[in-house]
This record gives sequence, structure tokens and C-alpha cells, in this order.
Amino acid sequence: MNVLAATTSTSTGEAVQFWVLGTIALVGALCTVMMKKAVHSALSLAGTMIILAVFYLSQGAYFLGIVQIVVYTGAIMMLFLFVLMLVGVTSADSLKETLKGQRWLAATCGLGFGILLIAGIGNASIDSYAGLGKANADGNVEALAALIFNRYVWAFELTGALLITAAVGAMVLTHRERITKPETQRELSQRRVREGKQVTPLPAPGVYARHNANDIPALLPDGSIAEVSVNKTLRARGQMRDVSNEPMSNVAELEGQAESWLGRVTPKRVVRQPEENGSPESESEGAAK
Amino acid sequence: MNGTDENPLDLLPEVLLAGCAVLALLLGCWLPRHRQWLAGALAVTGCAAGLVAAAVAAAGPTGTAFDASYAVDPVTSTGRIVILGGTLLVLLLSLTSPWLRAAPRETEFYVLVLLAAVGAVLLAGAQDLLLLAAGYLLASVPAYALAGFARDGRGTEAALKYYVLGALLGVLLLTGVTVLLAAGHGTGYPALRRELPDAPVGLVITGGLGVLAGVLFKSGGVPAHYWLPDAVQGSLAPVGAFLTTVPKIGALAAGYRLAAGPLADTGRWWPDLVAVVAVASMTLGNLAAFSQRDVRRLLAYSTISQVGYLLLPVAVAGRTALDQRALLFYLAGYAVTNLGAFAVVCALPRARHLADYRGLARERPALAVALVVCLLGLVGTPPTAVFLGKLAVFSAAFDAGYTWLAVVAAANTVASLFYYLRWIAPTVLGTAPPGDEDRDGDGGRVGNGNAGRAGADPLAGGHATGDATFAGGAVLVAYPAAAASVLLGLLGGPVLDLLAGPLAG
Repeated sequence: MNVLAATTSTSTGEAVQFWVLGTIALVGALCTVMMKKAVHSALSLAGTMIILAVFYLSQGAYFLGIVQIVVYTGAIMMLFLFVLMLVGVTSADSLKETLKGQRWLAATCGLGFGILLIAGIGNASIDSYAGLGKANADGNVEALAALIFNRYVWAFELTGALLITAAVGAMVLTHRERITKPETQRELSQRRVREGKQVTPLPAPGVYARHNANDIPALLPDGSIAEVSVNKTLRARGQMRDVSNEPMSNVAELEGQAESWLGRVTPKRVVRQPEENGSPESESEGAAK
Repeated sequence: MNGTDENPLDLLPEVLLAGCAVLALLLGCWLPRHRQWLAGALAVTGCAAGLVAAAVAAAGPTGTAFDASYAVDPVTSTGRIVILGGTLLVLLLSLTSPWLRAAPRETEFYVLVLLAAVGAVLLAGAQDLLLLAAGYLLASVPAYALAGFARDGRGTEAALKYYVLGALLGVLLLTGVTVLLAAGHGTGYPALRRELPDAPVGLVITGGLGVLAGVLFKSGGVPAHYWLPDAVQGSLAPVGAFLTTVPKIGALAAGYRLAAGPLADTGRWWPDLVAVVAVASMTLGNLAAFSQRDVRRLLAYSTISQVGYLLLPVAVAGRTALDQRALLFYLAGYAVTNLGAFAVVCALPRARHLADYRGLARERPALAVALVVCLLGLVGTPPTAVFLGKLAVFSAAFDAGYTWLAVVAAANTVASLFYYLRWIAPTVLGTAPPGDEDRDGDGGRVGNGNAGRAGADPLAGGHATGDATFAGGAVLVAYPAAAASVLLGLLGGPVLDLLAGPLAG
């Protein structure tokens, strides 16, 4: 009797679990859309997927729940995260609207469909459900296998065709043929000397003993920053953390004290602000000082 | 769970298509670049074999396959034949396109076309919402790649717009499928047909709306048509021909199957909704086409208005005995006529604007005749197939009590004459300005009648390097398509009788 009740009606525990986890899943889904950084979006999506897996488990679909965690959350989402981190998104989103009034129209349509969905689902009142026991009669995995390999075997095979399509399509759209010979290390170094911009290797990021993160530019002897020490992607994203202000002001203060101690009054040294795109010339100039 | 209908031979045309796609991909991996046309030849062979198999299946009995999830009935059979025929013509257009023959990714093009065609056939035959969703994806994803195949600015824009809208409406389709599953306790059409009349109406309408969104996206009906003009204008001409023809056939057949099956007895909301969409589609498509000067964009808007007429039998499905025959005949006529018009566009790759067609009748009379036949066919001039299709569609609407719908459609047909004439007039009456693209090249003789011999071999039809203003091979498609458009109209009676027959399941 108890088993029967568990497969035909919702218990209080399940209802509580649904409302708690459903809220979190929805918040995660909203965060996926609204987060500014792609990595945060991906993490929110992973969270939503895990909660969906919990729902599957609580509905008695153990195989599906585990597969959801192992395959989707574990493999695909993590792969996606790695890709995001490796590729690096250099361009920021343009917030300029090219279609007039598109936001309001989209909001209206979305709201309309949302109301329709809520009204439609609210229209249906289901207090007991049937079929879970029957579907799992021979075991959950066996029932799934019977569906996949009998009724939906054709759809299943076509999903395979879809994977081929995805691979071919991605290659068609992104693959670029190299039409010139790659430059050797020798040629690269010769080019560097000929152009005379940055002959030495690029400086490493970080400030000794204080900040060693990758997004902190190295400081030059005069206290200004060496922009080339930070990864190009981080620079383009505007994620460079400048810590030069404090040492710069210290140097200026020190010089001011020295001047006053010597009894000389000289105009205060202008603290050079880091430019938008620090050209390598100015960096090497700074290093020469 | 073990049905008795798990016979893969029932799906022979689809299996042939998918198998040829995989084989062509493997073949293309080992072929040197100048012999990649062999993969295209394999694709053409696969389509032809699929056509034969589909014709044999069409003569056979009506039935279902794989536990009633796939129907083999007149709708599927006609869908198969028209889709395979359309794909065959598109493949011929591609094989004779100089641009594509010189492209490094030639094999992939044929593979993607074949896979998208499998998806379209699947849409036409699916008798289960899950299979419908799989077909939607398979018909869409290769098409995204095809739209951006040229990898230039416009192609990228086309692919991006197509993809973003496809993803959005695909999500709506999946939502609709889920809601209908909740309402009808199943995804198979026979089960849904039993359950849906007793299900809560709000739920059924929500689900039906979601599924309709997916169908409208693939067919290019009005609220979901925004991608079409950009995709057709921005992508290669053969891709434009494919996008405006093949997926539409599958989608409209799917819409008809939904309307005549699970949603048949759920109330008047479906016919009214689809009727409104149809009217919006034909009217807005026509209005937008009036001001177009780019021929591909004009054809794109013309297909949007054609979808409006094609949605009429979907709206009145199950309310009249004429609906199925009207839809299938119109689909066949539309496909062949539209492909003929696009073949002419492919034959003149430099002529992108209406003004560029000035004087075509003097330079290449045969090509001009083919173009005029196809354009007048799209209007619905008497001896052509689309005329008969329109007649059948209008009478189906009358018969079902939607007189206003038929009247609006007829008025739109008259209005559409205007923009087709804007194209026909310079073609027939004008004289070519000096230095125009239609000057006689060495391809000129090909256009005048011995085309059959010149292009029977895909290598010979290529003109891969020389004259880029005239792709002689495309006339191979243009003439037969124009001829077929007229022939289908003349043989309308017997063909219409063939298309009748009960749906499976």
C-alpha cells in the first residue's frame, strides 16, 4: 500500500523538496542567462543540471539521474568550462540596440507565452499520477532500453547523424587552412630585432613578494606598469588589475621629501597614468630609466 | 513493447540518404581535391536510389514503422518523393556551380545537404512528437552550416540569424512537446488523438502553440520568417534554393499530420490560429516583396507568401476531403517551380538585381523562357502546377467553410502578380545595356538547347574557371524544372487522384 502510494501521489517530503530545489534550479537558470561572465553562466548551468538530476532521482529514474550527473554535469559542462577558459573571450558584448523597440517586443512576447504556460498548466489539476509503476515494472534500465532500441531506435540513430552533422558543420565553419609556412623560432627572433620593438622576452606578470596573480602587471623601475607582462586576452577584457598607484605615490612622496630636505623647490613630478594601450616603446623607455 | 513493425526496409529511402551521407563523407576524406565531385555523384546516386525506393513504397500498402512512431502513407510517400527530387535538383545545381566546384569543402556541402534532407523527410513522416523534435534538429543543424558555407560577412550573418531563431523556436517546440506529453499522457499521435479531446484545453493550446512555432520556423511562416530573407540573400544560390524548398515540404507535411491527427478534435482554436498565421504570412510576404530589388530577396519573400497559401490546407485539415490532396499537390508544384526560378538565378551568378536581368530574352532566350514560366507559375498562371495547386487549396478552404480565407488568398494572388511582373518585364522587354553581364560568352551556346549533352557529365558542366557570369550547368536544372512545372499542371487530374488516401495510424 505504501509503495502504491509512493508511485501514485506526491508525498509532503517530495513536495518540500520540489519547491526548495525548483527555486534553486530556476535561480540557476536565470543566472545562466543574466551573468556577465561566461564562466559564471556555465557554473550556474551546471548547478541547474545537478538539481535536475536530483529531480530525476527522486522520481525514480535512477539511471537517468546518474547519467545526467556523469555525462552532462561531469563531462560536457566541465569540457565546456575548459573550452571557455582556454579560448578566452576577447570581445565584450555590445549593449547597443540595433533593432528599435526590440526589447519591449521580446518582453511582451515572452510574458505572453509565460502567461499562457502558467494558465495552461494551472488549468490542469493532477492530484494523482499513474504509469510510473508500470514503466518501471521490469526495471528502470530495461524499460529505457526497450524504448530506445525499439520504438525510438530510428530517432536514436538520427541523433548519431546529428553528431556527425555537428562535427562536419563545426569544421566547415571554423577550420582554416594554413596557406603560409609557419615561422621558425629563428625567423621570429630576427623579426623582433628588425622591428626593434621588444627584443627581449616579455616580462613576467606579478609584483615580487606582494602580488603574484596573472592579472597584475609587473612594475617598471619608476613604479609605472609594464602592460606587456599581462596576457593579451586579459588586457582586451579590461581585467588587468593595476597596483602601480601606491608605489608611484610612495616614490613621489620620497622624492618630495628629499627635495625639501635639500632645500630645493622643484615642480612635483607628474605621475604617469598607464595608457589605454601601452606601446612597447614607452615600456622599454621606462625600463631604461 | 515489442511491436511487429520494426522493419528497417520500411525506411529504405531515409536509410539510403543517411547511408550515402556517411559514405560520401568517408569518400571525401580520401579523394584528392579535384575529384571531390565523386562524393557529389554518390550523393546524386543516393537520392536517385531513394526516389526509386520511395516510389516503390508509395505503391505499397499504408502502414507504420517502429512501434507506430513513423508513418508510411501518402503524405510520407509524397513528402519523400518531393524532398528527394528537390534535393536531387539542388545537388545538380551545386555540382554545376563554379564557386562550389573550386571550394575546398565540396564534399562537406553534399553531406550536409543529404543530412538536412533526411531531417526534412523525417519531419514529413514522424508520427511521434519525439521523432518530430529529432527531425526538427536534423533538418535545422546542417542548414545552419550550409547558410554560412561561403564564410563571408553576409553568409556569417545569415547563419547566425538562422541559428539564433532556430534555437529559440526549437526550445518552444520542445516546450510544446513536453506540455502535450503532460496533457495527452504520451507522445505517439494515435494515443494523443485519443487523449487530447478530454485534456484541459489551456494545456492543449499551449502545447499546440509551441509545436506550431517549430513548424512555422521550418516552413518560414510569418512570425518565424525573419531569418529567411537574410539567409537566402546571404548564402550561396544553391543553398538559397535548398532552404526555400526542402525543409518547407517536411515542415508543412508535419503541420498537416499534426492538424489531421492529434489536434483534430480539440476545438476550433487550431484552424482559426493557423488561418490567421496563413493570412499574415501571405500578406506580409507580398507586401515586403513589392519593394525588393535583389532577386534572391524577392524570391525569399515570395516563398514566405507561398507558405501562406500552403498553410490553408493545414488550417482546414480534417474538415474537408480535399485538404490532403491540395496540400501535397501544391507542395510538389511549388517545389519544382521555385527550384526552377532559383536555377535561373544560379545560372547567372553575377546578376543579383532585377535590373541585371534586362535583355535576358535577347541574349539567352531559352533561359528567359524558363524564368518566365517559373515566375508565372509562382503567380499561378493556368497551365502550371501551382495554378492547379492554388485552385485545389482554395476549394479546400471553401469546402471547409473558410470562405473569407479563400477570398483573402485569391486577392493576395492577384497582388503578387505585380512583383513577379517587375522581374518579368525587364527580362522580356528590355535590351541589355552595353557591357552587361549577359554578353555572349562561350557558355551562350549551352543555353540554347543542347544542354542535356553538355552537362550530363558533372565535370563538363562545371566551367570551373572561365566564364563566371554564366554557370552553364544550372540550365540543366532550369529547363527540366520549368518543363515539369507545366507538365505537372497538365497531368494534374491523375496526379491528384494518386495523392488521396488515408493517413496511417
